Amino acid sequence: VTTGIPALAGAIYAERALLQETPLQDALHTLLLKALSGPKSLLGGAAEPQWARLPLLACASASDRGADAAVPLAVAIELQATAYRLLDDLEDGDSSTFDQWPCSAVICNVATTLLALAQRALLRVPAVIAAILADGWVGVCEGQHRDLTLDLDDSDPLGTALQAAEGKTAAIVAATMEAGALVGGADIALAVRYRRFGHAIGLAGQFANDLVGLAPDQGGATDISRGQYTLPILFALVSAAPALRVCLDTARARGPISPTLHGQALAELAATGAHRYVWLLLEGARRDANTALAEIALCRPVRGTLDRLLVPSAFPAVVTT
Amino acid sequence: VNHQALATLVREATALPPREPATRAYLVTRAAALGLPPHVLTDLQRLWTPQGWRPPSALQDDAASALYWTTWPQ
Repeated sequence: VTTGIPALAGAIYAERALLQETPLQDALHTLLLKALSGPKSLLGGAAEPQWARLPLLACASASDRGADAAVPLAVAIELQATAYRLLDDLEDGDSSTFDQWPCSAVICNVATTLLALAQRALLRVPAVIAAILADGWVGVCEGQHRDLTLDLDDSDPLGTALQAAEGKTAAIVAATMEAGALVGGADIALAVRYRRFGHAIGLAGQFANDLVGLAPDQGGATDISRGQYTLPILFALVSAAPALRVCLDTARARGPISPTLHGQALAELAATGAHRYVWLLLEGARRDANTALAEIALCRPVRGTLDRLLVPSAFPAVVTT
Repeated sequence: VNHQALATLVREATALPPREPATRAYLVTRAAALGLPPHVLTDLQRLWTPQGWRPPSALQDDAASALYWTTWPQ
């Protein structure tokens, strides 16, 4: 494997070994491999695997001995994140996932098996660090619950959505970075700085995701036509936005949405400044991540490890005359 | 940052012409009154261009580059 991620080859080997040493029916084994071979995954050959690289980079930054100590963590997180993604798609009724599997019950069973396998991977992780990771996933579930039960009649749906964002990505990325630092030998005070960094980049990722979700995908769908109550959509709903409301109600009732109405809804949303609101939140999270990174850099090297997780905005400061 | 104060500032700024000195002066006052830190207004002005507000697609592209590291399903 030619990549800049330390111990990545070891993590791939460890995940394959875990699957081979676990007695599994051939058909289920095949489905697990399918689930674990997505485009941003370890077994999919990604140079920058989305989840597994987080503890590896944290450990490489915190340790003088590379990232080998974080390999079991990386495997556990890869298995858990894959399972949670499948379960999330089930909860959201994501048809693009359903189309790839025999039925929803099979998806649920594959996800359950992945969680059981993650338990095996965690046997090689100190209990206190496994607990940090478990708490991170509990945070994800709390965020997901807020998201699933969000009520537009709440006094502050935008605040509830922000709390959901804090729970979802931020909770598990924070836990992952803290755990990676601890297995790398960081003391608790230093590990807290890694946690803050993880929390900030997790939030940034969630805000960025909400903005990107407003751009039509290859099939022309957006979070509006998917009926998602994301931050920009909730921001826009405070203003008079009749087409947006109709689109969301129709999407959530699984009804058809005309391209014309969808276009009107997007235009209404843009006119409220919703993109700007979420971009400001994103930029704030990036600023917090930079601050946390600077605090870590006082004690440990971050170049080539943590700093690769932060991509600054391309927008320059305005020069006023 | 207080999310409701930020939302108020963005709504008010959206209703005003960007890059105008009067707009900037007004928003400086409003940001302070809303208890928002100065960097919020600095960031907001980064979305001003000679042609007006940066288009939504530019903000989406910028966000996509930030997504280099992750996307958690919504």
